[in-house]
Amino acid sequence: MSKSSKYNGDDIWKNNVEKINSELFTLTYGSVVAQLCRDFNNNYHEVNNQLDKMGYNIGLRLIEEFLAKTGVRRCQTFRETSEIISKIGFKIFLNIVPTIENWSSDNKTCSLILPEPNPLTEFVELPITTDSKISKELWYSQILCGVLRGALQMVQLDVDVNFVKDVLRGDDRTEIRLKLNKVLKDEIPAGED
Amino acid sequence: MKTTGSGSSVSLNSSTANHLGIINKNNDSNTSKLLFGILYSLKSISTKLIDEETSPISNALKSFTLGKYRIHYLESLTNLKFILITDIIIDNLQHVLWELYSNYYIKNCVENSLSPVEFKQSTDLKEHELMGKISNYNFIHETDHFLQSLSVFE
Repeated sequence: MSKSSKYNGDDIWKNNVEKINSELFTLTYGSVVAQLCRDFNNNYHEVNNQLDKMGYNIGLRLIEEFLAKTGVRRCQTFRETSEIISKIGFKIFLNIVPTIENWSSDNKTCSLILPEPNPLTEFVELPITTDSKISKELWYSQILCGVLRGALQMVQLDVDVNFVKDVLRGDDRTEIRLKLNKVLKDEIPAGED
Repeated sequence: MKTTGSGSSVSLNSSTANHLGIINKNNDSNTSKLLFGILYSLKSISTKLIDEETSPISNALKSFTLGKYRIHYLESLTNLKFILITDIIIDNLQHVLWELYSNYYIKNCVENSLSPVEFKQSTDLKEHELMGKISNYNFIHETDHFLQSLSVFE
């Protein structure tokens, strides 16, 4: 039995989280990305960085809400962690359940496949005609990577998160790659002896 | 990438029977550092007492008792520590500590974007060597209020 079956993402999503209209959400996020593109003169690498940073700061706080609402206990393996992220984390905050695949043999790297429609990219098209760079450089949903990185860091997991495929760019699916670097140790604060 | 790590923080609420009505009074004293040291050591001992391979749930320190008082302890997965000091007749306060975290901390600190969620006291601390305390006024005020409303608070 997988550990995530003990916690019910469905119930929490139905009864215990505040919801907003998904179109409002999609359009607001879209205007954020569009504004960033303007602010950084279509330097899409910088836009990715900024989205990642915004997500990171969201993740630092979101994890506390997540833990308080779900009462999840510490996971023993990264496989468990990924199940919790997908079946509970994504479920209660975005109401989607990504599938997890492509495990590496050391169980430290895996892929999250976001189901379509991705709530961030509904109604979105990249304007390829005006700017051909955009579909090669911009990761439109990069904020999700930041959120995951920030949230996991707060529970002592140092994880690299990045997009490798995005349907918006014409790929066959939207894929986020997670790589566990190390489990951080709880240390005695310096200068408290 | 930022060099600050996960927030490890100490919130100290003292409500011994001798000091009626005074909560959070030890937050700034050195005894809070001593308490942190005791808890840190006990926690590392308790995690070593269990075989992590065979046990599904890791050991967690919940409370310990000294001659005249009992220390109740809850640590969130994000390393926030919630501590209550009570008379030894008070038995289990885990639900109270969980309430402090899941309700009062979330409401006053996490959902308040002006309130920091990392509690670094000095800048020369290295990554993941953080110790600080929750100094949000509303959080302290409301925890005081909440704790005084409990039946165990006399």
